[in-house]
Amino acid sequence: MNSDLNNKNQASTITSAISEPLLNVENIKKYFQVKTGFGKPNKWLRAVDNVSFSVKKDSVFAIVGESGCGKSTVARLILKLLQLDSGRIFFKGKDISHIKSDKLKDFRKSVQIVFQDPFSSLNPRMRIIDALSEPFKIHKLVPKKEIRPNIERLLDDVGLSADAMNKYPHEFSGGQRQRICIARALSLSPELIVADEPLSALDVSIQAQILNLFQDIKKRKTSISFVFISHDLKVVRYFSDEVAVMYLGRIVEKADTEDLFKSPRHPYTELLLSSAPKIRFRSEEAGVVDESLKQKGDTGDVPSPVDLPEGCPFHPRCPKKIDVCDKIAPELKESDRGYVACHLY
Amino acid sequence: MSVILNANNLSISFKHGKSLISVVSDLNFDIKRSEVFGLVGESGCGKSLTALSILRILPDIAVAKGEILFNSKNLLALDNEEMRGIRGKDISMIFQEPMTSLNPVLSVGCQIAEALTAHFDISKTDAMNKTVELLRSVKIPSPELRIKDYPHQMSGGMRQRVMIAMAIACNPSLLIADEPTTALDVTIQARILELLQGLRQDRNMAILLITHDLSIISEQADRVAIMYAGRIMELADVDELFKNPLHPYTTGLLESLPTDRGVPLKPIQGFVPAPELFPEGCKFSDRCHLAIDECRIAEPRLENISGNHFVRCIRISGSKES
Repeated sequence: MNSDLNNKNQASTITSAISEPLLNVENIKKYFQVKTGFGKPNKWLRAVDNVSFSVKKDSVFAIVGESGCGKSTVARLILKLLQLDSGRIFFKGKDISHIKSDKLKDFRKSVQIVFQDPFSSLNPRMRIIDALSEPFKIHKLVPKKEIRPNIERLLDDVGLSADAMNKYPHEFSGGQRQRICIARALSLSPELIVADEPLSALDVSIQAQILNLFQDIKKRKTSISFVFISHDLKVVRYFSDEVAVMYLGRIVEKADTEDLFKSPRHPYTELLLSSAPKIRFRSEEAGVVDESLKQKGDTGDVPSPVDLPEGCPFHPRCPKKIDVCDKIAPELKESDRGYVACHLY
Repeated sequence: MSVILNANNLSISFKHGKSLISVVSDLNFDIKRSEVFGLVGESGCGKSLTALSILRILPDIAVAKGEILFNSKNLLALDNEEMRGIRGKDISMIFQEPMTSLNPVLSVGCQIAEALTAHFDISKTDAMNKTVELLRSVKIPSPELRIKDYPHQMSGGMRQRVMIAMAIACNPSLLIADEPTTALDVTIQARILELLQGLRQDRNMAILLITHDLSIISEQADRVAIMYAGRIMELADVDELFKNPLHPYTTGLLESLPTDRGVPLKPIQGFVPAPELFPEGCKFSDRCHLAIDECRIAEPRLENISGNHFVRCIRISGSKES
C-alpha cells in the first residue's frame, strides 16, 4: 500500500517535471456550512466542487463565471487564505496543500494577490511607503536602506511618481490605488499573481490603463504567470491564454481562450457569450438573435448553491437538455479541443 | 415624434459652505415619446444627478437650476404636492441596487400595490389583483404566490423585476433606469434589458437609460448623450455615434475597450478630477490628446455638426467649418 503511494508520488513528480506547470490544482473542494435555523440540520454550500486545472509558466489562466460560482473561493484556496477540504494543490511540483509556518511564508513570497476593491485593500492609516515596505520587512529580502530605492522603482514600474510615497491612500483615485496594490503584489517578484476581478471597480478608461499595465508587466518581467478572475468576457478574451468557465462551483468548460470564444461547447458558455452586450449597429444586424437561447421561462435565475439540482447543475436553464441531464452530473471530459462537462459531448 | 421631456440649461450644484460647486452645467436634451435615450459617462460625470433632478429627489445640499419641461410643465417650478402627483405616476425610476431599494419588512405585493393606491382611487383588493397582473407582465413565475414573498426571499434579478413592476404600475410615460443591470450578472442582465424593451413597446413608454456600458447603449438606445464632467460632450443617434464618433472623449472611451488579443489599448490619460478642480475652458482639455491652447481658454459650446449629431469640441466643429 505504502510503496504504491510512493510510486504514485514519484510518477506525479516525474510528469510534472516534464510538462512543468507552475501551479497544479487537483480535485479541490471547499464546502461551507450554512445554518438553516434552530433544530434543523445544517446544509452544505458547495462553493468549489472537484475543480482541477493547471497554470503553465508565463501564461495567463482566466476563470470566468457569474457571482456565486466559486471563482473567488478558488483564488483564496490557491493563496491558502482558506483551507482546502480535500484535493491537492501543487506549486512548482511541490504539494502545498497543507504546508505551515516557514514553508507557507516562503510560498507566499512567490504567490501574490490583487483584490477587486482598491478602496478596501489598502490600510487607510498607512502611508504608501509603509504599505509597500511591509513585504520587504516581513521577508527580510533587502537591507533596510535599500527598501526606499526599491519602492521608488516599484512605483515607477506601475506608472506612479516617487512623491506618491508619502501620501495616504485617500489621496489617490481608484485607478491609482489599484496601481499601488499591483506594486505591492510585485514587490517580492512573485512567480504567480492571482488577480481577483482587478478591473471591475474601475471606470472604462481607467480599466484600459490598468489592463495595459498588466500587459506591460507580463512582457517586462520574466516568468510571471497570472490567474485572472473576471466576469468581463471582453477583458478575458483580450488578456488570457486559457480559460475555465465555472458554474455553481464546478468547471463546465476549459480551453484555449481563442478556441473557447470562437466555438463554445457547453450550453452555459454559449449563453454567457451570447448574453454579453456587444457594440453593434442595429441597422446592419437587425433580427439576428439566436432564438434557441431565448427559451421560454428562463428568468436567468441561478439555482441556490445550497440546494443544487440533481444531475447537471445547469439543466434547469439549459436549452439543449436531454433525458440524462437531470439524473447524472457530467464529468469534465477531454474533447477534441479543451475540456467540457456536458452529456452532449 | 413628440417630445415628452425637455431639459433646458439644467445646472446642478452642491452647497459647500457659502459657495456653490457646480457639478452639472448647461445640460440641454430632450426625450421623445417611446424612445430609449441613453446617458453614458464614467462615475462622477453627473448622470445620476441628472436623473434625480428630473424627479426632484436630489440630496438636500444640491440645487438644480434651469428648466425641466415635462408635458410643457416645468418640473423644477412645481410645488411639492403637484410634484408628488407626477413622481411614480407619469415619471418613475428604477435604481441600480435592487437589494437596497426595496423595503425589507414589507411583502413585495404590498409595496407594488402601494404605488397604485397612492395614485388611483382603488380598493386594496383591486390593487392586489392588479399587482398579480404586473408581476406577470414582468415575467415572474407563479405571481399569485410570489406576491406574498419578502425581498430577501428573491434573487437579485427577481428583485429588479419587482422594482420594474412597481415602476410601471401607473403606466408612466417616462421610465428612468439608472444603471438597472450593473449589479446583475450578464445572463440576468440580458433578460432584464429584454424585458425593458418589451415593456417599452407594449406601453409606449420612453426610457432614460443611464449606464457606463457603451455596449448596452449600442444594443438598447435610440439616441445617446455622452457626459463628462457634468456636460454633454456628444449627442447623436446611436448608430451615427458608433459609426462616426467625433469627440475625443467618445473615441477615447471606445478605444479603451479591449478588442483584439494583445493589441495595446489606447486609454485616455489621467483621471477625472474632482468638480472643484475641473480645468478652465474645455473640461476635458487636461486629458485630451487633441487639446491646443485655445481649448484651455474658453469652454466650447455643444454645436450641431450634421443632422442630429452634436459635439462640444472646437477641434471637431472648427475643422468641419474650414
